[in-house]
Amino acid sequence: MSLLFPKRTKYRKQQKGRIKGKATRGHEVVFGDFGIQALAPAWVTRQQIEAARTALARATHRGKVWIRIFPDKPVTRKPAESRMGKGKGNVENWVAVVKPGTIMFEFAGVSEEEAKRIHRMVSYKFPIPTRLRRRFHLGGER
Amino acid sequence: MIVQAKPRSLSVKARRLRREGYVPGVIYGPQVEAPVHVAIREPDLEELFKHITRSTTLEVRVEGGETYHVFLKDIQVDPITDRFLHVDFYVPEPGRKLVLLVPVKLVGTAPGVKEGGILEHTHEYIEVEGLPRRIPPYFEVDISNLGLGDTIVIGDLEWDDELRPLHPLDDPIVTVLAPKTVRLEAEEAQEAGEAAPEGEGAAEEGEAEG
Repeated sequence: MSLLFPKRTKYRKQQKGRIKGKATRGHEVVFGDFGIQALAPAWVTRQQIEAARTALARATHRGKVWIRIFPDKPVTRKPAESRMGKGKGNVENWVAVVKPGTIMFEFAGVSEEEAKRIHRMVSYKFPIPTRLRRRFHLGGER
Repeated sequence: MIVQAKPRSLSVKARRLRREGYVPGVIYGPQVEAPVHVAIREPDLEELFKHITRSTTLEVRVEGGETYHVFLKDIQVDPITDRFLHVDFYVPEPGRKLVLLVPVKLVGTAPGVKEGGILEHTHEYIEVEGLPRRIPPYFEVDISNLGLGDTIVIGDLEWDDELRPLHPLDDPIVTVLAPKTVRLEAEEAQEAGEAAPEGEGAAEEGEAEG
């Protein structure tokens, strides 16, 4: 799998924006048994997503992995040693805007112990603290 | 299951209520004239959620008011602190069918798993349509007779006009899959049996070319 980015966008460049508040959607584990949840706001780059995905896929062996975030925000940068002005820089990278609480990845097919070990390994790939979440079940459903 | 609730005045903000150890909630349904706003003690709610499923009928007793027989409709949880923010209770109309997800509980140990099989629990929940009084808190599925390759399908459970599944009856609930090595060996044996005459010929040709 190559690095993720959108096939087509309406506008080539975006403003930075600010990340405010907690996640109000995408904050529950809904596909797999475990999820990796962001605990701080961040721009997660497509390289970080790919690194985490590779690490997860290797660690879970025959398990399944779901990517719950997508890098749909272009980030621009001006060339080195160029004078200010002359318009906005070129698109250099793509990032996913992540709010605290967002479940970034989900996986299944491993035991709880393994999941903890996998989370510890994968957490190094992100620029923010994360934690492992189990899928929410009411007590009588376990 | 009984839930004790106290009526909530909307002039008291939800945030203040939560600070005081209560979780705001609402009771509504086709037969409830106006939604009833309530507050439930957070420890009571945590204790309640340890024992119920999403299809358990609950009895909500509102202090100084009515008692409602309800289903849990929605729970809002803070994604970071994991505290309950709000709960919705739905009062069903007794004569009207409703659609709900009923969890499946597996009972026993499948002998097929001891033989090296993998237990695949396809349907953790079954979507059903039925009268409120007929909807069970969960379906108990006994897997103690499930050998290697055996399956229990939705049609194996008991259904009638008042309670029916919204999945095809031949949908598997749980299967004991044969481990990959056993399956591969069986497939290879089958292929070898089918392709024996051709296989010999091909081998001879290969030698001639070499």
